[in-house]
Amino acid sequence: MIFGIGVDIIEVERVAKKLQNPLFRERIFSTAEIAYCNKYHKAAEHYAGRFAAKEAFLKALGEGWQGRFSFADIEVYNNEEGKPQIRLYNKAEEAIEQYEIKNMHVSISHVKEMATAYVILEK
Amino acid sequence: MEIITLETALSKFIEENLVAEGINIMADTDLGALGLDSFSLIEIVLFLERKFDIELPDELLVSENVGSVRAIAKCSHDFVHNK
Repeated sequence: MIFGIGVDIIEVERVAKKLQNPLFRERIFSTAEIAYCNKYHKAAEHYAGRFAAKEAFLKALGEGWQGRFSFADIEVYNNEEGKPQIRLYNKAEEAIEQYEIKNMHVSISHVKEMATAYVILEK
Repeated sequence: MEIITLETALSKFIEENLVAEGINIMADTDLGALGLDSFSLIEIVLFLERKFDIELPDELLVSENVGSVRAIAKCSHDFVHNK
């Protein structure tokens, strides 16, 4: 059964401005996410998409960024088929176990100006 | 670091970067009611790191600590002095 859904949208430019600050990248994104996004010419769109996915995940879980876990503990990666997936660490992983979430689905889309993501969590 | 210094700097930063022009941010203004989202909170945290070298840990970013400039300043002040 569906536990929760979450959607988020963000302006790419807003993220792009912050990317100039290494503290932002390190605080929000995992090392693997940074390596993935930096492969692209339009890296900011990919960073924005991944940020939106983290926000959407929190909304699906029914929580805001309330200090329970770090954004960097919510990692978005692409599987062998290129499909985005969510991998969790530390307290984010514990939260999923606590809520008995069995499946996580994420979809991301971005254009020059905006990035959006949608997350569905299943119990 | 005085709390009033933090409050003044935070209010100015929020007024200039995160809310519509002409909105005055007082120490006890409800930031949530102004529609500041989590990305705005990240911007505030990064501002504190850049300007004051205060690196607030994620576990302190609970609603009671980030609801107003006064709350953020007090949280930052206490964090620095309790380290």
